[in-house]
Amino acid sequence: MTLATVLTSSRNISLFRCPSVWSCAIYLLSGITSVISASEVKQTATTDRDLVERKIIPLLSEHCTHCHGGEEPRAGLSLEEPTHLLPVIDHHKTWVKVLRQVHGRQMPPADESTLENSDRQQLKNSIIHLLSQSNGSDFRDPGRVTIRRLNRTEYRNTIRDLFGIDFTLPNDFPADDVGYDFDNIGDVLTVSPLLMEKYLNTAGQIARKVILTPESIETPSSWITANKFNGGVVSGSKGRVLHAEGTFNIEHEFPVDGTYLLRARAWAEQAGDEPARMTFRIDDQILKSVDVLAEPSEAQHYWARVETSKGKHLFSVSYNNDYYRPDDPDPLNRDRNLWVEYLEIVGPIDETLRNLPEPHHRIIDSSVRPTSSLTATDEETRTILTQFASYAFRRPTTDEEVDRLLGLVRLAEQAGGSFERGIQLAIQAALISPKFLFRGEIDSLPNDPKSARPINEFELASRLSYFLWSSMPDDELLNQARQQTLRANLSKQVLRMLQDPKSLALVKNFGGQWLQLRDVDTIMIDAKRYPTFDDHLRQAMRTETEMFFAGIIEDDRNVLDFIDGKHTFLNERLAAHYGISGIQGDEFRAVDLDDDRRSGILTQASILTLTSNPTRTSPVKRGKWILKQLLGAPPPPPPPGVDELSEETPGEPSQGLRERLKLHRTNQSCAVCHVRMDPLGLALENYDAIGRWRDKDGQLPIDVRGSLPDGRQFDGAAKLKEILRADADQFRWCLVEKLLTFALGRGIEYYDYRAVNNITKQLAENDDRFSALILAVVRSHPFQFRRGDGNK
Amino acid sequence: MSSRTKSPDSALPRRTFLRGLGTVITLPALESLLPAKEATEAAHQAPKRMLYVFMPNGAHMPDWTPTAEGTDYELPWILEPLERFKQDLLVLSGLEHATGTAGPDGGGDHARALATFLTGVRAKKTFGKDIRAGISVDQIAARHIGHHTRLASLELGCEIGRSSGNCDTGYSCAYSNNLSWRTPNTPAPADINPRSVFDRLFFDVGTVGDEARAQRDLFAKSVLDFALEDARQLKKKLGSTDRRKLDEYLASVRDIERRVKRTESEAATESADRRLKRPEGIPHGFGEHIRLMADLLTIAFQGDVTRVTTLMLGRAGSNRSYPFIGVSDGHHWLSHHGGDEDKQLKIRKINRFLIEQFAYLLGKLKSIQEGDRTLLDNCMIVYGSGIADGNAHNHDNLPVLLAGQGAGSIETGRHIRYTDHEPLMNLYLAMLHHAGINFDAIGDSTRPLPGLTG
Repeated sequence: MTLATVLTSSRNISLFRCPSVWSCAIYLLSGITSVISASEVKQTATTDRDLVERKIIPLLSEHCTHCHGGEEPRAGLSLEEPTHLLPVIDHHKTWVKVLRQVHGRQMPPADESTLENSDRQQLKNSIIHLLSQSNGSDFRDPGRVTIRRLNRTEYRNTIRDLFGIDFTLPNDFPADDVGYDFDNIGDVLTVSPLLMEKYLNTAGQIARKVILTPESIETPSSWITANKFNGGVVSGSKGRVLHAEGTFNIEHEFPVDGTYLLRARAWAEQAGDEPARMTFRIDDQILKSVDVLAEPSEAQHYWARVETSKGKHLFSVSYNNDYYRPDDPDPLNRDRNLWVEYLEIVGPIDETLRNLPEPHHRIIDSSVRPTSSLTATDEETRTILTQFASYAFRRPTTDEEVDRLLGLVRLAEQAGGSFERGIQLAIQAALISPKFLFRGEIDSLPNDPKSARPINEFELASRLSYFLWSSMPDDELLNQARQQTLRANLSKQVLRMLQDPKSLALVKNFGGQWLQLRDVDTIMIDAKRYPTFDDHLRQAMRTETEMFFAGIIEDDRNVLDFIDGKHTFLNERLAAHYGISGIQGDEFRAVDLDDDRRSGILTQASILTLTSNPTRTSPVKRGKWILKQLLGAPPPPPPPGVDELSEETPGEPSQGLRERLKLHRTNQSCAVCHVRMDPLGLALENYDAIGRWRDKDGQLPIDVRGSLPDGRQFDGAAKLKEILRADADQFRWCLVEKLLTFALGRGIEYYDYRAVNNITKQLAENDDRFSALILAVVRSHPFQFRRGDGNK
Repeated sequence: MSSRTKSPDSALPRRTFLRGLGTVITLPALESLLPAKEATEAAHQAPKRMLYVFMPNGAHMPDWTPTAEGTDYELPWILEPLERFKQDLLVLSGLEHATGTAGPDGGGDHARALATFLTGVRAKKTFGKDIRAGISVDQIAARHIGHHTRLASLELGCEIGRSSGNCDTGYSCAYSNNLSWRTPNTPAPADINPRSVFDRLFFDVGTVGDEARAQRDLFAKSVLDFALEDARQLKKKLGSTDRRKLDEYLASVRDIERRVKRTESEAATESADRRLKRPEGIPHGFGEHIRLMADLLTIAFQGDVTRVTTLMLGRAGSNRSYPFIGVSDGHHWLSHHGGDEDKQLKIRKINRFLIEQFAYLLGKLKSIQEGDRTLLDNCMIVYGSGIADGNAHNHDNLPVLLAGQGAGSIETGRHIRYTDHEPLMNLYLAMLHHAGINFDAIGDSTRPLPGLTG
């Protein structure tokens, strides 16, 4: 199944229209031979001071210091003597701010000074170099990701892939908190007792679902009540009791040759220092001895399994360890007695055993354990547990770990449970272990910030799979890791992973958060004003953008298609919404776009709607979305007391929106941001709050002209996209920052900008192919390395 | 085990011990479940319970604050639904949260207002790295009186945390999603699903199947021990930040272990109520959702399953719309009313709607007799917001109510106005003192709030 078809029921549309996916990829491989040397400033031996004096000061004094200098430097930032901004470690925030302003072409302002592209590039590279180098030393900081708990999605997918079952997360799992716009950030993912309780219960339910225990088999069965079997004395409704060692028994006619379960519902009056012990026999053959832990009023099923022939056999349970000390001072500790409420014979169960759940076969029966015996040897059990736990922990297990799991199996058996019940317990334990729930990467020097190391092959397998699939590594990745060949085959594996339907997770999780598509599900639209908006349309909106993204992955398209790709996926409903005819039915299909109204994601209904208010469009939200999501240049925080989330539009409704928004810019402190946000959003006014094309806003004419702070003019969405495309590096850089954050599970730090810059360059050098982006990310220094904790 | 996904198979088996639950929601008379002697004792030594209710986006203050002070005052329009409970209430005006103000941190008032609401600590401004607020007052109380009950505390909510996009300027969503904080770095997320709350109140943890309690507990403990041992092993090999994460994990596992141990010695709550229906999940209606939480909360207090609870009606900056009362715009959006009268009227309506639900809760608590008093009398319930006016985002003169008499130690039935920037934390400090927890200060408190005892 292909990626995009996973999204819908569409069956007949092949998305592999680009035959050159693999040839592109091979070209790429040759392109990225040495990530680290690709774009370095050749000054590794110089100190920070040298760098600042030779490369940075000349440009700053020419272009910046006439504002950012003197007695009262603009924005409180003086760049007159930037050597004051050393060491970098103490001033990285300021350097990053300068870098972002220069990169984002916000500084210097067009009317103040013109920074030639080559100079801008050099200033950028010099600052990036400064930020990534420890004052001339060779140490390159790869950063350190905080140990990451699996988030809800990763947990669900991991369970799915670990057991090969369809698994829906109980909807009462607490939401994962979000940091840096993503829900997979190690620092923010916490564990609470509430969550732990959900893990414990869910792990128990999963264990029950994947392993069938004999004690859970209910039919067919014959009951033998206390007045029917022999031994001890009957005591009312409580059953029969043995006050001294002895036997309960019944002769039973077994209908056919086969496997049966013999059950006793029992409890004991406990005394002395061990629980009552009960032994199951068929005829003279001892089947099993169990501890009867159940206390008065809490009778429980104890059982044994037997293969027997057709005909009459004597089924018995005996009491083996009577205890009687009538002079014990504690009246509750004088007498140990065994009670049985009823005996039960279940079976034949051969048919049930032949139809075990699929995972049961894989976990237990595919190993050496013979299915006919009641239990397995320690060695056999270790084999079962080693196999399971090395999948669950996504790395080889230690003998000690396996021994403790074995201990749980034996404990369950000791308490009267079956071998299978023991395996359930071991599974439950493994699934709540931090070794399963967290993605631990173990360092030999965990607290030495200078001890950078390449991550090992298993860690690499997990980083790849949780990045691209939001799930555990598959057999292929784990095998490669075991053979230490994963790094050598990295690109081949990554390309394989991208073509796997599981990479849909990248669309849902990365795309869902980067583009805020997840919000489409909860967005509120005023039904009175927009009567055509319903859940069907809502779903279609989200599907379009997800399929668009999936198509970029699958066809290895140019990532600039996000800005203005002239194709999309539509069904009848959404096509009608767009005023496009000739598309019938509910299935989505690829559609080429031939007019200016729609192209790229910005003019897809999903994005237009999620940046609107319930009752009308919001140019401010739309402008901000473009700045933040596409350009990586979010407006600075509003002044104190003004709420960023606020969507206040001043003025009277009778004035046009544009007129009202102008009021934003009369207040100097608002104008700083709105002069950037509002024009971008106003360019999209031809699309209403649910993304339909319109020529007028009610009775009011629409004016989509605008200009950027740097003076460039535009007129409507199509022209705006041309500008975005002309500034493609801004978009690439933004996409790289977001993707790297998602891939690493941590925020971008100052020392990461070298990687961001390298990846951006590699992307541009490789025709902006999506696979080039992913390959550059997974080959980057922060993805491939880690260091000890502590501040550098 | 390959990674193939198999076709869906049948739903998980329902837990068998749910058999026999009826269909009617009625609160059980707990006294009837207790032997006569215990019931009498319960009346004399009824525990004091604490509840903190958070409402998002502040209130329309002109219709919230009574004009007169003292005992002789009229409830303003928003508070009118509380008329029945006027004698059980204090309206407290003039309290503030200085730690919620912009200060050096700029925007993000909503996130800050929630993060500080029960902590009195200025939340560290961060998108994710090193989140830090303070320990919230409910969790302080839970640490001191939580060992008396099966659940040390219960955190409830009626709106799921936002999980994409940014939550509030420069602040991780951890701040705007969470009311309770177990430690300065670890929020305690609210349970928003009534079904899950029900299960936590009535059933043991970690149970699989139909096994007898002794075996069940043995298995649960063994599994937890395994996890603890794994955590200890892992922790030894980690750096300092990672160890903090493992500490959260260890604390959570121990919390559950403690409960397993408790149930060993108790008949648990399984018998507590056979007439309360296990809820299906989150109800569609928002009012119904809140009222169901109120029912569950009442039972939790009544059965002494916990004595400390928080209830977050909405997350900070909630943009929920209330079409069922004629408000189809988002709450947060409306709260930036800019003086617009129509928007203010809608804000007012939302405020009153939430107060109506609060009145339902008070009614429930009041309907339960504990000896000479009602359950409500034995509670101390704060209802309020960390923002006063949603447009101004001011963190002073907050809308705050205190309901219940803390078992007779608080004199209710009054409107009290405080001046001189009295910190809201002073109220919480006083409440802790009323509950016998004697701290000198919490958060930015300066003194126990005077005037509560009349």
